[in-house]
Formats: sequence, structure tokens, C-alpha cells
Amino acid sequence: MNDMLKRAVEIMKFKRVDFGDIRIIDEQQQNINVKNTEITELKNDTTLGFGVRVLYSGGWGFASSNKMTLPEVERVVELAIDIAKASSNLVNSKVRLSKEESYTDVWKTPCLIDPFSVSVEKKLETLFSVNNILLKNPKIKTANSKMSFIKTHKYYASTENSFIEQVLIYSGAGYNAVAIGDDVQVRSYPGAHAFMLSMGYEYVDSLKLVENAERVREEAIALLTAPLCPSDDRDLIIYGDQLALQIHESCGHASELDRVLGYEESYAGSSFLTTDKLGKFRYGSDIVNLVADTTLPGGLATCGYDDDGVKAQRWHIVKNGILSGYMTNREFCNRIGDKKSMGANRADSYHSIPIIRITNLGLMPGEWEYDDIIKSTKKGVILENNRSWSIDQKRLNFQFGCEIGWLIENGKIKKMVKNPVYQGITHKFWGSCDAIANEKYWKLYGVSNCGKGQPGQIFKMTHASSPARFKNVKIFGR
Amino acid sequence: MNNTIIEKIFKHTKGFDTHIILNSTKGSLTRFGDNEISQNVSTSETRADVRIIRDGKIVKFIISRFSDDDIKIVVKKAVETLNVLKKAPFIPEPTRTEVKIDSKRYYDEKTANMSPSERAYCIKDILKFCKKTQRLSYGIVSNSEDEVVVANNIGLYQRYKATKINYEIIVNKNNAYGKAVGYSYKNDINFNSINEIAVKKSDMACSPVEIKPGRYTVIIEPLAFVEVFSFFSYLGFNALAYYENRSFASGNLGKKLFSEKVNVIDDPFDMPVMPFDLEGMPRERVVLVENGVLKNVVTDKKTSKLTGLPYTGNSIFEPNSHGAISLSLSMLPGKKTSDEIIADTDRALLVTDFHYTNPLKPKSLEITGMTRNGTYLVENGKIKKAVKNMRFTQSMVEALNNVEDISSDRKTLSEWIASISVPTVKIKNFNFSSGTEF
Repeated sequence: MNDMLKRAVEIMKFKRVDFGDIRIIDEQQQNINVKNTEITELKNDTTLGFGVRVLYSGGWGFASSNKMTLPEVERVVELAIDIAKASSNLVNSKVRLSKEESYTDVWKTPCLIDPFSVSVEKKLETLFSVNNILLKNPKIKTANSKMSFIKTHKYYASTENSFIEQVLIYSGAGYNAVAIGDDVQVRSYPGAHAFMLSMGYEYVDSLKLVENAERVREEAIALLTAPLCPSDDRDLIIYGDQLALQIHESCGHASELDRVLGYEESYAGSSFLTTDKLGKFRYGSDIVNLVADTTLPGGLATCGYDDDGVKAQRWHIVKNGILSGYMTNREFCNRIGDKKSMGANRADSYHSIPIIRITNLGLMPGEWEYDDIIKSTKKGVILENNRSWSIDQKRLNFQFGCEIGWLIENGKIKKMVKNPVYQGITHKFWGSCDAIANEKYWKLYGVSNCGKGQPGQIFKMTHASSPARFKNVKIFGR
Repeated sequence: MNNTIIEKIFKHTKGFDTHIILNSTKGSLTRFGDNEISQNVSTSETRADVRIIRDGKIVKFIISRFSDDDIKIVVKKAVETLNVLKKAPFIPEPTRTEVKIDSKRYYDEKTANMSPSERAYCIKDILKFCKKTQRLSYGIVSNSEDEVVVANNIGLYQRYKATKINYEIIVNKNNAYGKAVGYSYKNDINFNSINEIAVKKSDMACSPVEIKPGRYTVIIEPLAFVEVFSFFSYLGFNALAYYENRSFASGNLGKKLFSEKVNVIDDPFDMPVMPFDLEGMPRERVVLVENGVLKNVVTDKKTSKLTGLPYTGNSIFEPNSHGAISLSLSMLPGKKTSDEIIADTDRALLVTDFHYTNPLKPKSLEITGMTRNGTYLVENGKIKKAVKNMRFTQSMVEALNNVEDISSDRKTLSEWIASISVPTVKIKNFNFSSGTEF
């Protein structure tokens, strides 16, 4: 590996590139899916390859390969330079990266139990036990349970003399029960999307998968005959991976600076959080604090350094309701007057170019006891776990469907309702947030399927939150 | 080189039923935004997806390092896993077929070897034009070469080598957006005419008016229609969803569900698409909807057994939890051109593109999403003005029953091994549920 890193940097320096780096990624992944009583996927993957990024005469070039030889490194570096030369003829102004210290460091995900040291038998035993419980009632037609583990060994070297080695570990487990009658109802655990964190197998143990299966089964069955969620304006108490997705879609993507500046317009869109709004725009109510944090223990975007070689950091995106920051990288941070990047530049694999991605982004806890939020709600609905999602290309109009709702009347939970869907405009919605539960209820929810970029990249991040209440939101049952 | 890799894997998995999907890909993409190249990438990769079966037990793995030592290590690990498993309830039979396929029908060497400067040349004029006229342009031009070999150790060897070129452009003037795309397996794309459409659409999108949410007649152009029609592939015509009562098709084969103008086929012979599935089975032309009547769903090895329906060659490497996917969905053309459909319309919304579409209710294919890149009001046969973007929430099963017209002109779009061919469709009573600020 070292030979390849050194050779790439040597050539890039010799060719006098403005900047260049190489990432070698050696990744091991295991996926196990069990559907009812059958293993539908048991797959062990290993991938190894490298990507070279070059800034030449102010234009970018990137090339990659999975042929691990020195001549191939030389070919790929030359190709990246050729590509950068072609880019440099069609740029508005030469790209200049913000200054960054050079680092020589090793960083590893803190991990108690290496997930790859746990036997397949043990993993399968847990998944089959879960499915057996879920299938005990014939109204459950399908039980899907899964585990996924990733170990990414990343080697980074740059023409600025950084040499960083990182070992990132991710573990995930979860399941859903599909009840089919006149309707199709799904209940998931620990979330519809949230099933993975950056930890070892201890995370899987902590989930108590088997212990939760009976409740999940019964709720899926109860949803078949539950009344449809009423259609009106109500106070919503949102938690679980639904609130995580709300944060992700309406704040996370909206605050990616490349998107704000128009460089994602050709695919996922732009953002209403234009740079003239920084420090002024009221994004949410006074109690809304949304904090980006790549140092968060367990966060899927937690690392020592991003793929620009920038050290992990913590910063506000929204402070006391006001837009206060963006997800930035070394290329774009100067466009908002920042001298240094916050370190949000990441690639999903060796064959992808690093781009700005949402990092871990959490809603900071408030001061409320959860029970007091319910008691002080006259006409509301509690919503948990995402079922459908959509948001416009500037991140304003959103519509989310949830797995389950519970109606609240005069401070009391009255009944379960099915198929709740709510809809709103981002800044009005966050402006209506009047209660956030305290730190006792603050939990991490992972998103491991976030798509962005062309060619498309899938990335992982975590959104931590406590349950929060939003006033007078349009909700309906479908 | 690919044959050597396959032989090596067979050598190291002797004594097993071994199935290999070897995929070699080379792809390059130039991305632009704000009238400049913002990303410019090239990647090459070879990987093998392998399945081994012995004594009723099955395991899958990926190999991306191909020395004898590397393969040996990966196979050893896979065998250790396989040994602790119980017998699987379903084992895919090894594919046996007399039909040998070695297709380069959609391969163009010039497209495969397009250089970064050639891609830059394709977009140079539009970037210059947009800069000069105070417009902004965003998009991609990409070229790729893929070779897929599907082989097993009882003689199956199917090969498909193809190229693609893809062009997408969005033009924006004062927040009025217009989009156009081009796709081919060879570089016969008319960049200028695509650029003209995007500019025209953007110009027509200026000063949009707000209209109330509600039910409207819509004319949905191919770029938008593909966003919603593609959900039929894995949620509707998929035999696993059908078997598990999760699809609109469940219990409805032979019934008239859609407008009689609607005809849908899964047609691997009508578009650039792999002519065999990932089990190596030659694909067939499957009539899915005929004059509005649901005729068939598509199957893989497992769902063919479960449903008793014939295996149609729509497998995506078994076992899996997804089922059978229609890889070449095609809505057959109507008689009028898109322009004639607009000219024959009293009042409707014309939609260029849909954004962030997702199913609310998979069984009825109730989908939500936003309009994007040009939404207009048509009155008395003419495009009168632009309207602000709207959210739709609509069952697509109901929508296809409400089809009033289908265009004779169609667009074919492609993603990896799948392609889809769609016309412009006019649909009555299409539900727009809310608006947005732009």
C-alpha cells in the first residue's frame, strides 16, 4: 500500500499539480437477510481499490481503478491529470483550496466487539429467533430481518504531505413485520431506515432484537384494523427515525454548500438556504439547535478526518433558530468567507470523488419531560418511523408518511391510527417547534442510504434527536 | 482476461454448483454547474459476484482481486460459512439453455473511448451561450463501456458488451428552469437540439403563476413519466409482489384495470438492454398489459415455482428478497405526436419532470413527488403560461385507467442492465395535493 501511495504522490508532485491526493480503500462487508424461514442473502464482500484526485491549473480530475499495481497507479495518475486539464479549460475561475495542516495520524472507530469475529451461526440464530416470533400470528405474512457489517480500511496521502490511516467500523441489525389483510401494514424495528451505527457488535446486542419482536408483531397486526388518521391541522409529536429523516431532508441536504451554490442542481436540486441568509434567516423557533458533529461517538459520519484530510469537528447549522452554518469542504468554504473547511467532504468508495455530504446532524435536546409534552397537547398525533418521503428540489415542500400514529386528545393518548401523512414548508414547520424532550430521550438514528451526486453515491450519517412537538401541522390519512 | 478469471474461480470452487456474474465496467462522467465543469471523473472496475451451492446449502460472495491466492482466501471463507448453514428451502437450479448469447449489438468503440476533451467539447457551446445570455446551465455528459458475463460450471456462458452515452442539461434563467436529455449507445446525440429544448423550456417557465391544488388533466412528458412508470417494474409486475399480495396485479390477472389505450410489454428486443438475465437465461418478450387488460407478470426461477407461471428470464441473481424485475419496460406508442396531444387539449397542466417520487401505498402504486424543470398551463391547444411547482399524490393504477391519450413519440432511458421506453401521456383527474414557493 505504502509503495502505491508514495508513487502516486511522487508523480503528482513531479507533474506540479496544484493539489493531489490518493485514497486506497480496503473494505470488508457482510450482509445477512432472512425472509420468513429462508436466508435470502448471505454475502461476504471484499473490495480493494484506489482513487486519485488532482487539481491542475484550477480544474479537477479524478480517476480510479481496482488493479493494485504500480504501473496501474502511474496510468491512473496520468489519466486524472489529463481529465483535470480538460476541466481547467471550462472553469469560471481557478479552484483554490482552503489551507489545511498536514497530518500523519491513525484513527480507528472505538469498538468493543469486532463484528467480523462473531460467528455467522450466532447472527443467524438471532435473526431466525426474531422471525419465529414475528410469524407466530398468521396475519404476519412476511418477516424480514437483517444484519450488515462493514469494516473500511482507508489510507490517504496528499501532495501536502498528509498521511492518514483510518479504520471505520459499522454494525447494523433490524427487522420488519408485514401484515396483510385488506390493507398492507408494516412495522419496523429499530427504525424503517435506522438500523446501523458506527460501533462494533455491541450495538447489535444493545438493540434487544428478540425482546422487541412481539411488540412489533402486535402493532403491525393492530394497524390492519386501526382507524385511518384523521385529516386536519394538529400538533405533531415526532420521534424515532421519522424525526431523523425530517432533519436529514429539510436541514441536512438544505445546508450542503455545494448544493446551495448550484453544483448539485443537475440531479438532487439546490437549496432555499442561500448564502445571503447566513446569520440572519429564521430557520426555526428559538429552541431549535441543529448541530453537525463528525466527532459524535457512534455516528455513521464519525471519523478522524474527512476525504479532504480535514480533522473532524462540531459546529452549528442552526443556532437558536437562526441559520448559522453550512456543510463545507476545502473547495467551497471560502465562498461564505470561511478560511477553513468544516470537514464534510466524503466519498462512498474508492471509485467515487469526494463531495460535500451531510455529516452527523442532531437536534439538540430541550428541557421537557416527554410525558409533559403529551399532557400539554390538546389535539395532536404522535408519529413514529418513516414510511414514505419526498421533498422538493429546494427543500421547502415536504411530505412524509409514517408507519404508525397515536391520537392525543386533551393531554391523553387515545388510540392508534394508521397511514398518517403530514406535509409542510420547511422553515414554517421548524418555526412551529415549541417543545423538545430533554437529553434523557436523546438517541442516535442512522441513515445508511443517502443518495447524492453524479455518478450516484450512497452514504451514511446519523441524526440524533429527542421527541419534538410541532404546532398545527397539516396531517391526513391515506 | 475475463475467461481466465472465470476459469480460476471454477478451479477454486470445484465440487460446488458455481454461478458467476463477472462485470467489467469503464465509465467517465463530466459534470457541469453554473456554466463550468465542476466534476470530471473516470473509473474502471472488474468484479465477480459468485454463488456456490452444495448439499442444499447456498452462499454468495464478491471477488474483486483475482490472483489465485486472493480467490483461494475468499472461497475458503465462503465454504466455512456454507458449512455451518442448514439446508435452504429453495435452491436455484443451475441454468441450462441451448441458446448461447454473445452480444455486441449495442457496442460502439468510439463511444467507449471518448476522451475527457471530447466530452468537454460536447458542452463547450452551451456553457458559452448560457454565460453570454445570463443563463445558468447544469448537467452531465457521460460515456461508459460494460461487459457482463454470466457463467456456470455446467457450460453456461453468456456475454453482453455494450456502450452508453448520456447527456442531461438543465438551463435556468432567473429561477425559471428547463430540462432536456439524450441517451444512446453510440455518439449520435444531437447536442444542439437538446440544448435548444432546455433553453426554450426555461424561457417558457418564467413568471410562474400559483394555481390551487386539486385534480387536473395532465400531459406528462417522458422524462416525468419514467419517474412514476418505473415503479410498475418492481412493485407491480414483479411476480414476488404478485404472489405475496403486495401488488395491484395480485388476483387481477386477466382483468381490465387500465384504459384500453394502455399496452405495456417487457421487451428486450426493442431497446438497448441485456438479452439475458443475471441467471443467464435468455429473456423473452412478455406482454404485461394488452388494451388495458393485465395479462402477465414477470418471473424469476423462484417465483416461477411459487406461482406456477413460466420463467420469463427476469432474475436478478438468486436468492434475493426483491423478486423478478422487468428490465425493459415499454409502453407502446399511440397515434398522435406529443405536440398534437397538446394541440387537442382544452385545459391541462404540462409536466416536464418529476422530482423525488416515492410510493405511499405500494399496492395501489400511490406515489407522491414534485413537478420540476418546467410546469405549464395548456389552454385551447396552446402552452399559455408557467405555473409554480406542485406536489402530486396519486395512485398510478388509477392514473393509467384515466389515460386519455398516448403519444407516438417515445424516449428510451437506461440504467445499468435495465432500460425503459415511455411516451407522453395525457391523464384526466390527476391529483395535485399541495404547492410550493417557487
